Amino acid sequence: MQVNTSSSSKNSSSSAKKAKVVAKEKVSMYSSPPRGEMSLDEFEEFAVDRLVILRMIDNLRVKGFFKTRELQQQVGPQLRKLADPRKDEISHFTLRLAHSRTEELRRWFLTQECALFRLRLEELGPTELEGFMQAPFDGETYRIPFTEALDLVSRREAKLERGVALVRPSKVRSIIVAKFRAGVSKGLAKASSYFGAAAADPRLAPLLNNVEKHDVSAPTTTGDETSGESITADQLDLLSKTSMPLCMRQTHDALRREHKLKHWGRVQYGLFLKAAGLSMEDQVRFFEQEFTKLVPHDQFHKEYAYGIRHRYGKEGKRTDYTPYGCLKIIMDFAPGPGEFHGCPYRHYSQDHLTALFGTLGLSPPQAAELRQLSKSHNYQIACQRHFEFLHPGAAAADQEISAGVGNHPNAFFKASRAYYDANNKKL
Amino acid sequence: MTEVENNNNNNNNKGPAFSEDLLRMYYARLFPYELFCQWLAYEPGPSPDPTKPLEKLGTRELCFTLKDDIYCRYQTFGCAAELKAMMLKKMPHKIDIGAVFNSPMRDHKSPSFRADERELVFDVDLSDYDDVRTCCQGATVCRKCWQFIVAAVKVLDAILRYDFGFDHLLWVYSGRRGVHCWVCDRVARELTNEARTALVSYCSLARSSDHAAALTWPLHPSLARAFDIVEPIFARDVVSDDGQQLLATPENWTKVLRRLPDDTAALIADHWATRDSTPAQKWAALKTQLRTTTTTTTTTANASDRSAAKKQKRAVVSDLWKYETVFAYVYPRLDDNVSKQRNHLLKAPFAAHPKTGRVCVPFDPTIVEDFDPCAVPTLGDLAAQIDAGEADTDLAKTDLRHAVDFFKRSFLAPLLGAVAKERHDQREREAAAAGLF
Repeated sequence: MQVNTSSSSKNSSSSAKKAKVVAKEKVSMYSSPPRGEMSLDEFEEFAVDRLVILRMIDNLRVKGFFKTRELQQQVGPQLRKLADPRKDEISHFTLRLAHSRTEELRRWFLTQECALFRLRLEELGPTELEGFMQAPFDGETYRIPFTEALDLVSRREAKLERGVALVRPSKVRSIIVAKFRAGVSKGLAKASSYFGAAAADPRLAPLLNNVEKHDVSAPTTTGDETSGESITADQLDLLSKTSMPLCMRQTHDALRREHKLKHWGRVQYGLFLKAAGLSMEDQVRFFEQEFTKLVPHDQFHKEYAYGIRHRYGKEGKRTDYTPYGCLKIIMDFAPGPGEFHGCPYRHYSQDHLTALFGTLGLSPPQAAELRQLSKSHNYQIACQRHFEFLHPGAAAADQEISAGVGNHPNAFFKASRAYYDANNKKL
Repeated sequence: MTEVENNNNNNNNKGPAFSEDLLRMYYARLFPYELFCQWLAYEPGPSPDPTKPLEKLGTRELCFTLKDDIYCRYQTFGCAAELKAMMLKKMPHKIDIGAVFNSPMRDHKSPSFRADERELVFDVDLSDYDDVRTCCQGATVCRKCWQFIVAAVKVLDAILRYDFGFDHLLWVYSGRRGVHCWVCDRVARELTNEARTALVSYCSLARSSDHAAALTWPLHPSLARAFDIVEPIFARDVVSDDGQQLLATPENWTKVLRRLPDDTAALIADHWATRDSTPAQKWAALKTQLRTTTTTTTTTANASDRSAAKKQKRAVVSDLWKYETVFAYVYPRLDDNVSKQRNHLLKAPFAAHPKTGRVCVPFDPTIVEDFDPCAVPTLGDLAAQIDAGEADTDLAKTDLRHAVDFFKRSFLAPLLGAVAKERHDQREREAAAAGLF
């Protein structure tokens, strides 16, 4: 086991050097795995302690606590458990291996680890942060290749000069996180090639698999959003109003209104409908009915029907695609002009939302609440609240049913269907 | 109004613009195979033997679209002669260029098959401007709406060169109603999908449903520069009577004024209703009006009462209004999905557009305002020019020679020069490192 103290300081004073060493002990970049001996019990205990923290971060973020400060208040006390650098590193590398098996797990692990890393960076002062930076500094800005400052580039938060981003010290955290993310991402890819060998070791196999099983409910799309029932195309107009989250309802309305839908809209809505229980044949018929108001039938079959069959795993590489979860819909491409995918709470302007809420039959205070949640970046909470407005008494009645609402459009749909089923039975 | 789709031409050629026969003639006698391969191989040095396989070409994807929209993905070729034979045999109506992959195309079903390298590409299409075009819609294009493309090219070209430091930009007319840009610097070719996404986001303005971008102070230097580039185009070609007529009719200018504070908007509307002024004067007056508001504020700001603070806030809003309004019309609208993925296909330069017959010719972005999409030769034009011409080579008889010559001199030569220098520097470094031991 080595503690990473190899600071790359070249010309800094000894106190600054010390600060850098301290910083790197406090916040590891996990660039090389620890070596040494340990007991199996310890191995598992460390991993589970870290997993609890990562899941806690995930849960808080799903509930809308994106701000580092908010997260810190909640997670901060737990972080003491990882204060020992040895435990911190061992648990990180164990979970890295355990989460390397599938793309879904890798993405989940990377997201949570980056959030955790950011929390810890927050504790460091400017001098300590400097320890992570190797770029030239001219007294005002660091000069960093733009490829290492993508976050700032994409939000236009740094000036660019011939491929070099001029980054003010107040913005360096994002650079350090990007470096961390790149390192862990690469490490996960590497770990995935070892996973087979590690899991073949009879002492590690149950452990690695237990860690993974322990975790199974954390990543959002595991397929159990599939509604299990089947629906037909002629129900969609009604269902869009009673049981679809705003994103899907929007897409549905746009398709009916404009008789066309651009690529990401077709993918997002098409996969949702598949998981909601619409058969492939029905989906082809439904899209055909709309699209052919603008394009000839043979063009529809040539250009669009293939895509639908593809999404049902009947064409091309025959993957049975899973429907998009909220995180993906929120983080992915924003809809451009004439596009209707994405999350309305995330991607629509306040004016647009106001107009939209006017058509939903919400009371003014309800509309105001949703607008406020959207404004404060609590998109998933906004969606949960909308669910509650649509289904009075639902949250209180059955926690289990509405648990995934705001996490996945199909969970929203499923919960809504369950709600109406239960109410019908009562009637 | 001239419509590109109408297959009009400046060469009095009355035949079709595109057909199988014309395509065969074009592929047999004009398509610049050798230059095309030299580019995609990134192979400097004297013109290589056209029959010798070039290293980088073997794993580059071409996609052919045959007659009746039959797609043939994962086509490869090793050299110019092979490409020519392939194109003459398959007669693709459309040719797209994909990525350089990590293994030969026959492995394209393997899970480890992935795109290793690819030019950074951009696609700007006039159909994305339909809500602000009053002259044409959909696939048609004329000199008036082409000005939106002019603005986009100038802004994007400046961003790519000055902000990102790219030097090897190939701008190509897409054959119908838009343009493509191929950024061929090594750094650009090696960008990850993630980096491409960030870069595209830097180049784009997030737009709400009414297409207006919400800007904030202080304006990023890149946007300030973009404004300086496009504002003259806005004043000349968007507000004017012979342009998009934005400030030429009360119906149109109401749309513009709607985004101003109510009292200001009403004041201006009244003024314009009663007095004659040209659209250009109106725009100049609008800008002055905003500036006046700002100046009044700075003078009264000394009196630190509440209303001054309020005024100042409004003045700032008004000033942003100017940027937001101009950008809503003339800031580049990118088809960003084209740029974000390494393995996205894009129509090859020098391919012909099957709907218009026009060749996708490279053009000089510094004089893009002089580029006339309606004057780009169609395959029909080229055939007529060959028949009538007296020069030594087929190419020299046609108008295509200008585009080929521009491609060779202004794009390919500097690009290959840079590749050669890179290799030279690399060898020097290796020699120096070896000398140390």
